[in-house]
Amino acid sequence: MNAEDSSAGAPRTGQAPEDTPAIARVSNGRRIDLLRKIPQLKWLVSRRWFQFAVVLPNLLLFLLFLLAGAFGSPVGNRNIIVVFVWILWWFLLIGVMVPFASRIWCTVCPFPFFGEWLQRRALVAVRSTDPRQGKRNEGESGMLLGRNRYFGRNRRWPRVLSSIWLQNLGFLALCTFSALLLTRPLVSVVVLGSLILLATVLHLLYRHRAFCSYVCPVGGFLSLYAMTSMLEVRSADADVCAQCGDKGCLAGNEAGWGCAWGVYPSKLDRNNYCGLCMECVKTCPHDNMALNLRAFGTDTRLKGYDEAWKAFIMLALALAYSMIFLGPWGSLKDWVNVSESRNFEGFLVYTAVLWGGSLVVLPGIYALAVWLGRKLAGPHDASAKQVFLGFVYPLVPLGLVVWIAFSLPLLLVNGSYILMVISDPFGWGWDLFGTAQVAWTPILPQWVPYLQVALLLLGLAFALKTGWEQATGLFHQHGKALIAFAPVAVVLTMTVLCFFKLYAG
Amino acid sequence: MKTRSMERVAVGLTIVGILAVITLPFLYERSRSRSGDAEDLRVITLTAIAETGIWTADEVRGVNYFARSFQPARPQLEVGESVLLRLKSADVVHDFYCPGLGIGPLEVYPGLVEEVVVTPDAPGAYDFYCTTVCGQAHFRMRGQFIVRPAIATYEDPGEYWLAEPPDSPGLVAQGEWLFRRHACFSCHGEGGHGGVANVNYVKGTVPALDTLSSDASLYYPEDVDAIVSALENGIPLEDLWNDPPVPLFNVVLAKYQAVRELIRGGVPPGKLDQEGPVPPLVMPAWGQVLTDSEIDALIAYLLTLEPKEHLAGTGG
Repeated sequence: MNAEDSSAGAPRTGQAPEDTPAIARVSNGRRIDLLRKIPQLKWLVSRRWFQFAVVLPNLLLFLLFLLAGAFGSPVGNRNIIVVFVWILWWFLLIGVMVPFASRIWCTVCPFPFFGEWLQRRALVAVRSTDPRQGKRNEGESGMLLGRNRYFGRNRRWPRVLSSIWLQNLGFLALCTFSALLLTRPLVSVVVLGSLILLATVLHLLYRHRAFCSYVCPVGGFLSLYAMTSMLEVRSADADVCAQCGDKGCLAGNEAGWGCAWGVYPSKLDRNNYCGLCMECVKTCPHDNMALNLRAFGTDTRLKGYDEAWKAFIMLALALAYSMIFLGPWGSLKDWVNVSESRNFEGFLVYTAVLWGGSLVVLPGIYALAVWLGRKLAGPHDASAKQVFLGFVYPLVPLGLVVWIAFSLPLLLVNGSYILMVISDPFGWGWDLFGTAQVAWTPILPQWVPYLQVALLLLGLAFALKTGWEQATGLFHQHGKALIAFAPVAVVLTMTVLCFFKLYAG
Repeated sequence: MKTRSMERVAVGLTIVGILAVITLPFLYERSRSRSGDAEDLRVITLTAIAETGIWTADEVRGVNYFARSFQPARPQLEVGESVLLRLKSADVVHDFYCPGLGIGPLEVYPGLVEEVVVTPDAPGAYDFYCTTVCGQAHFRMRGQFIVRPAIATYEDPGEYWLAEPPDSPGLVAQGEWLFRRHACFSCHGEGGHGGVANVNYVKGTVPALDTLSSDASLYYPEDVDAIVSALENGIPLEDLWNDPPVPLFNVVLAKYQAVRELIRGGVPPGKLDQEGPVPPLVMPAWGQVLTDSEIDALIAYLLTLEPKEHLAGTGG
C-alpha cells in the first residue's frame, strides 16, 4: 500500500515532484524531540483515549456555545459563542496555537467528532484486520482500508478538488459576512453548526478526514500558517521507516488507525497537512515517531498556487479587517454591517473589493513584482512558478504576524467580556462566578499600537530574511538574488507600511 | 482497562455529557427564575429594541431576533401588587424611566438585566419612556403600565357537594350546611359577605346576604332569635300574624316571603350595559332542589349572619 492508495490524502496541490522548488530544504535545523525528552507526554499521547479525552470537553463546550447562540442573548458581547469563539479562541488560535503548536487545534477540534465516530464506529477502539492473515471479512463488517475497517461509502475525494482551493473560497465567503459573524450569535450558530453537519456528511461519503483536508475553512489557513510553527511531527529516523514492513502509520494496525490525513510520516517534511492526532505515535511498531520542537518558520516550501493564494487571501483579509474593525471609517462599517444598515449597494461594493483585492489585485501586484525581479535578474535556472511560489512564501510568516497584530487589540480591548460571559454564558442575567457585572475594562490600550508596530517590524524582518533565503536558493548568486528580490522586498515593505498607517496613524 | 470497556465508557461519557449540556442550562434557568425572585413576585420582563422603537414583553433570543416581529408591551399591574420588573436591551444602551411609578431613570445595557420592584398604589395609566436617544426610532419608544384596582381573585371552592351534614339537628346548622352543600358561598361569598364580581351586572358584585336581618327590620338579636325559633318549631310565619313575636312583623313577614320566593324561583341579574354581555352569575331557581323546610333552614341561617353588636347598634 502506498500513500495515494491509502486515504483521502493530503491536498496534492497539482504538483509533480520535479515541479517543486529545489530550494528551501533549509529546514534541517536543531530539533528537540519532546516525546523522548518528556516520557509522560509520550505515555499520554500513546493512550488510545488521548484524542477522545481532549476532544470531548471541547465538544461539550462547543455545544454549550451553540445553545447559547441560539437561545441566549442576541447581543454579541453578552453571548459566550461570540466572545469565546471570535475573541478568545481566535486569538489563541492565531497568536498561540499556530505559532507554537502547529495544528494542535485539529487535535481537539470538535467538528469531525460525530463524522469520525460514525465512520469508525468507535471513539477510542480500533477496528483492524490483518489481510495477510486471511481474516478479511470474517465476521467483520465495514470496508477494509489498509488494516482498519471503516463504515460509510468511503469514496475517494475527487482528484480535481484535491487542493485547498475550496478552503480558500469558503474562508473568503465566510469572511465576507464577518460583521454578522462577529456580532450576531445566531449567525455563528448557523455557520459552526453547518460545519459540523457538513463534516459528518462528508465523513460518511468520503474516506478519512476529507472535510478537514479539503473543505474546512479553518483548516485552510491552519495548514498554511502551521508551516511557521515551532512544533512538528516527523519520523525520528527515515531509514527505519524505509525498512519498516508494517507501515502501520499509514495502513493502520491493531494499535491504531492509519493516518486520517493521508500522510506518510516518513515523507512528511511540512506541517501543512498533519493534524497532530498522534495516531502514528501509537501505530509505529518501531517507536520511530517524534514530536519535535524546532525553530520558528522552519517549513519554507509552498507547493502550489492554492497555497500561494491562501497567503494572498489571508493578507488581504487582515488588511480589510484592520480597516473595517480598527479604522475610523463609519461608512465602511455600514457597508459591511449590512444586516443592521440595510445598505445592500454598499455591501456589494465591499464584497467586490474584498474578493477582487484578495484574488486578483494583491496577487497581481505581487506577480508583477516577481516578474520584474526575474527580468532584472537576467538568465537563471529557476522556472517562473518556482520563483513565484518561492517569493510568495515570505507572506506566510508576515501574514501570521499581521494577523496576530490585528487580533491583539481585539483581545486586549474586549478581553473583559470573557469574564462576564463566563458567569453569564447565555446573557440571561446569571452570575455563576460573580464576574457577570465586571465593567468593560480595556487592558493596556495605550500599549496596543506599540505592540502592533513591534510585531509588524518583527514580521517584516522575518519576511525579508526568508525572502532573501528563497532568492539565494533560487538564483544562487547573491547579486542576482538581490536584484530579483528587490521588487518583492519593496512590496513587502509597502504592505507593512500600510499596516503601520492603520495601526499607529 | 480493556479497549472494549474503554469504548463503552467513552460512549457513555459522550451521551451523558451531551445530555447534560443540553438540559442543565435550561433547568438551572428554570430553577433560578422561580427561586431567584425571592418573594415569589410576579415577573414582568421588558426588552428594548432600538430598531423598531419598542419595549416588548416577548422573549428576545438569538433565534428570533432577526425576525423583528416583537410586539410592544402594555403591562397590566394591580394596585398594591408588588411586581419584579426586569429590563433588558437587545441592542444598544437605553434608559428606562417611568416617573409616575417612581422607576428610574435606569440605564439598560445590552446583555445586562436591570431589576426593580414596583408596587403601584393608585390605579391609572403610567407612561414609561426611553430617555437616551437610542436610534432613529427612539421617539416612538414609550409605553404604558395599566394599573387596575385590586380585585378579589377566584379561588377553587373544592368539592363542596361532598360536604358532610351537620351532627346537630338545629335549623341554623342545617341551613349553614345547605349554604355550603349547594355552593351559595361561591357567589355570595363565604359567610354571605358578598363581593364576588359579576361582569356587566347592574350592581357590580353579587349581593351580600349578611345584612338580611336588618334588611328585614330585625334590629335586635332577640328578635332574630324569635323568628328563627318559630321557623325551627315548624310554625309558618303567616300563622303569627295575629300574635306578632317581633315589632314591625308585617315588614319581617314580607321580607321573609320575598326571600323565600326568590330562592324558590331564582332571578336573572340585571345588565348594567344593555348592549353588553349577560352577567355570568345567575341566581338559580332552587324550588326543584330544596324543600320548603330546607329553604326555611337557609333563611334561618342567613338571619344569623349579621353580627349581633351590629344589630344592637342599628336598633338603638
